[in-house]
Amino acid sequence: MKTVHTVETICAALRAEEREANANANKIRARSSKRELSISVSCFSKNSINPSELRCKRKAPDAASLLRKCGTAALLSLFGGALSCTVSAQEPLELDLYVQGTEVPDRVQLSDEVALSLERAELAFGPLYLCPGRQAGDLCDTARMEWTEAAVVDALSPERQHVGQLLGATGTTYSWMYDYGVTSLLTQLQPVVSPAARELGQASVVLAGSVWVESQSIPWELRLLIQQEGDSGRGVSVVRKSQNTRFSHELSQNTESLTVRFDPSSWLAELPAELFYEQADCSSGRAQVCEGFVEVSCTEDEPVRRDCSESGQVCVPGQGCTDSLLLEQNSTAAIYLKQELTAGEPPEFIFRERQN
Amino acid sequence: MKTKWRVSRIVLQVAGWTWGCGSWAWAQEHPVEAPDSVAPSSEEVQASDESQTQPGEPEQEAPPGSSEGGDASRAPQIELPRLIQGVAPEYPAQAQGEGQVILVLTIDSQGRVVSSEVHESAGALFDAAAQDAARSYRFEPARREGLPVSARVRMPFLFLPELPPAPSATGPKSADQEKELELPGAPVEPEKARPDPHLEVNVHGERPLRTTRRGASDFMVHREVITAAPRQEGADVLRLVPGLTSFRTEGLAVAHSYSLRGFDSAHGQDLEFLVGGLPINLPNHIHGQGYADLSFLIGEVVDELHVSEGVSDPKQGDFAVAGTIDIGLGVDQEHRGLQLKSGYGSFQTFRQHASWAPREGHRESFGAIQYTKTAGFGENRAGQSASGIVQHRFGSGALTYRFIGIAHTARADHAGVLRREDIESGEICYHCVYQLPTARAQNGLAQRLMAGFFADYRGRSHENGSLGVWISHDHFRSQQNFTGFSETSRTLALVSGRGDLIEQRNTTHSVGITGRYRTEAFKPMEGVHGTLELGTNARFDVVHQQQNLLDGAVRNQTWDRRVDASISGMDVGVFGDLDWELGSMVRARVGVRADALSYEAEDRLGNFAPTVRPQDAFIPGYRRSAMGLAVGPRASVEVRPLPWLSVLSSYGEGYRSPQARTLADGEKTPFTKVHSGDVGVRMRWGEPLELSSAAFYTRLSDDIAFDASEGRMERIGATQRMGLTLHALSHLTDWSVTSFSLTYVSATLLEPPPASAEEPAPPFVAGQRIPYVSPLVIRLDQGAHTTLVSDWGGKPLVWRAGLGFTFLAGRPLPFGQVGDNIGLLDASLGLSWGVFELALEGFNLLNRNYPASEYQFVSHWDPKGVPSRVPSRHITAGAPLSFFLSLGVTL
Repeated sequence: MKTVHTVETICAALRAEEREANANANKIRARSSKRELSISVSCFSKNSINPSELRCKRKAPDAASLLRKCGTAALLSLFGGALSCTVSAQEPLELDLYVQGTEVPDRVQLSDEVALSLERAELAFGPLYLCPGRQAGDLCDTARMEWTEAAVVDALSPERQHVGQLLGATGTTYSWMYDYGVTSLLTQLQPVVSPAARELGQASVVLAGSVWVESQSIPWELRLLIQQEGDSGRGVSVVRKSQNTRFSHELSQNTESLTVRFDPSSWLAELPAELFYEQADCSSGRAQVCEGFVEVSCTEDEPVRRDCSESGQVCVPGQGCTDSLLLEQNSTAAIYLKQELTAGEPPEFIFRERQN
Repeated sequence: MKTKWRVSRIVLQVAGWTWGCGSWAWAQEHPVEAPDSVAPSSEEVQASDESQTQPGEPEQEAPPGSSEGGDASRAPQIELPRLIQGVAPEYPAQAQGEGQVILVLTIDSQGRVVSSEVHESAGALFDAAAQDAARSYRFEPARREGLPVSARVRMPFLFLPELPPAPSATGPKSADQEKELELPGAPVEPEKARPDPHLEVNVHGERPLRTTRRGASDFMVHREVITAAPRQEGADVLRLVPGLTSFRTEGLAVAHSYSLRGFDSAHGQDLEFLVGGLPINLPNHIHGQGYADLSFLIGEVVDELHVSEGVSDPKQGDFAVAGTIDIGLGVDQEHRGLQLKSGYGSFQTFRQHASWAPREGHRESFGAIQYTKTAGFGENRAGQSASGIVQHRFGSGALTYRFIGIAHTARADHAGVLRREDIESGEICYHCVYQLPTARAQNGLAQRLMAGFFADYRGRSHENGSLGVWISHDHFRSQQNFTGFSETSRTLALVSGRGDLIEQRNTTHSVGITGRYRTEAFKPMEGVHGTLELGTNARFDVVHQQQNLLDGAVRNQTWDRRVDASISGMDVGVFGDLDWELGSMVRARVGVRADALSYEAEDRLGNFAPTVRPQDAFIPGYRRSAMGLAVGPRASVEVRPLPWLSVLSSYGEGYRSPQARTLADGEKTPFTKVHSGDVGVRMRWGEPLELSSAAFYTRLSDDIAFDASEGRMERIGATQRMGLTLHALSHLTDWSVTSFSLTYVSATLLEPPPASAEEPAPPFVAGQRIPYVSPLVIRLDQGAHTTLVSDWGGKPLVWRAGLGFTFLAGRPLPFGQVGDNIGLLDASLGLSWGVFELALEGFNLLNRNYPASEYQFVSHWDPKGVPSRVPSRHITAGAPLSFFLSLGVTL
């Protein structure tokens, strides 16, 4: 049977050879459990090459013409074969990047007595890197895609907000990392504050709402600066996908956009109610405690009591009667929220593919 | 009395291709073939005893595949010089009677008479008249394998007191006939020549000692082509090599970046370079394996290039992966004497050249120096360099000797890489440098001293051999920043971002020997004969190297140490080569080469991990040794079915030695093995046109490519290349030469290192094109010269023009990117008058901004900005439009 080498067969041979090479490579020197290869074969010529032209007949009337013919055929075949197939790997890719918030319930119940409502949740988001490895951070020197800017995100708005373009190359991404508008650089002792963070008053996140203690409420607000702490993490993004989180996506030319969706309610859900409400007495040894709505000042003599509800206030542990709650950067609640924002439930990464 | 003269019947004698005794052979019909029993010579053939002539040798036209430098057992084609223009001498007014003057004229490769000596005097008046006339003569130069070479001609002038009878068909017109000579278009036939041997022609030529053009991808590039197009520096002659690209990518003091036939040879890792028999590549160099800096080359003394693309010759050793380029040094007759040349051009570039080559000395004997100083184009490219080369061949008879010494030093600043997007956004200009201390501190320093002594033996019966010793000292230092601010110190805790200014230092001391012997021909049966060659090369290298990170802003403070090592390496290679004629049409060459390499590496930073273990747990350092053997066959077959056609096929297995610092203790040295095959044709239609075409395939077991984060080459796994080379050399007119080459190659990665935790997104994946290598390289060299005024102040005024054009298709880059197409046009115009030469050269006449190199990697050049972590395109800028004017005098 006569075999005709077409572009397809040559490409198939190349692919087979490549598979074999990959297999060998993995067998012999695999250092990671999976290889991340994305191979596309594009053949742009339909010329077929007939190997019979390559054969030199034993008996030929004219050696010179035979040699000329065979040589020409060999050269053309080789040249044609080389031209006809192009195997390419990663290709440049640009994606639309959207951010999106999530509507939260009117109140997030922390305990039977305490609930929080969230009326403002804005954060400075970016830069964002999608990484090829399963671990971001130090091992993401070379990213798959990146967006090196930052934008203010209304985390309570379910509307998609276009913030820029993700730039990079095709391939699989297995991890991500980002900052909240304040980025640590190898070259600077102090992190760089983005315009987005400046817009929020030099803060990464601004949260505001009401604390409901039973039927009484007071407003609360938190301006949180989230940045890389200490020299050891210099140059590394502050939020990184944890190893326990499953994440992977094959980025291809069909990938159209990425939407990062934040859910602020998840940040509040784990806040301890004790931060806002307590039933304590002076036996705790503190100078001031709350017995529900009653502020108790512990003295050596008789404790002094004041019912905050009479003036429309609530008793907040550590603060006593107050009609508004401004959470400090290093307050317990702020530390909790920072923990949630950096290592808690991650935002949702939604890739949209083009419809063919 | 009328002027009367005639040239007697012209008799030509051609130097027989004997060495030592230098016998004369009577000219046969053109082309002249050497007697079979005559041994080859690589030196100028001298006239001597006629008794050794062998007129009865059968005529045999040299096949195209055995052109110059191509075949050790066949004599090259010789074409004798022909007188094409001349003025008859005046019969001296005060002279009386008859007189015959015999002059020995030296005719250069352009056909000009560059010197005349009175061999036989007829008195001062006749002598002067003859010499005056002879100096204005123009000849069609002698040719060896179609290429013009210089020659010495013994020419008689017979002065007669009265008008002689009409001249013969080969004689001149009478003085009354405008004194223009119409001398023979071709040498006279032997029957006429034999009785009256007044005119002797002594063609200067080289006869190769061994077959060197084995495959269709082997080329010889001669001086005539070398000088055709302008060049900015000596190493630019490499652009004449079909398929080779050569660019200055890291300043004047760092080796060029080469690529050939789909190999990104970087600074020489895949190309074996020899200059005057001295090996240039440096094994285990910190800046790249096989580092080969040819900056010391002085263009005026580059005589020829012998190019072997692929691997087919058992003599090819380490680094002969893409091929071997053997550069011969010498000074042609035209420029012998004391030559001084000064030049000045764009960017305050000043160049001073001086050379001395004794007029009667051997072509290979000369001394030359060169000094260059430039402010450099754009920013941060100022530099100086100085080179000196001396070579002397001496001795006579069977044994001759050659000494060669090369000294070179250079220091230059370097602008480094620029991010393409920064150029496109207007943040930085194309030829500028980042205005950062770490970028402006980039520079390089080169120091090299080499010397060699070679003894060559040429026996009467073709047997020949050579023995040589050489010694070399090389020191290299560079400061380069490819990635901006992305490094963190591994040595000092919590220190980072002080600029990735990589300092590399490398000192290599080398000594080596080389020897080979080729037997006389064995003839076991009729029509079958051949020779055996045995040879050896050995070298011993001691290398000291360091790599550090410097802070360019604080007096080069060292803020990290990456390499501190010493390496000793030994390479002992032996080879054997059978070279046999099998009948009249087939020639086969079969050989084998074996190299044993051993290393000891002392890595003083080995096991150094301060952030993981307490430093007092062990003493840093990792000493180890390794050894390996590389063996590979080499074979080629040449079939000559027609006089004008040769079909050539060759196969060879070559190797590249590993970086010793990457070896583990006791590791069997993992050579990079190359399997290289060529098949092609060489066609030659007489003098005007030679064409060759070859298809090639190579497969490398373990390739390496540039890693920007380390500023050096790193492994990328197995690779393959297949492609096609076309080459044409033309002398369509006697006043021009054209050389054209086209090389297409498809080069792909087969087995790149898999992704790892350290490299989760490897820039190289299986199936992709090998980065940084242009798939299509086209080169055109065109040279022309002719006499403007035949007698201007008693001397001819000759103009010259040259053109060089290079085209490179866009180079594939990692991460699916493709570089720009590059087209470069250079041209020159020159005048020569007597001892003076004036030349104006223009480079990059289209004034294209072109990247001398392109890379794709992650960098961060804004120390106050958010870093990018996605690989980006980077370039090092090539030189813009520039001009250079030079004035030379040869005394």
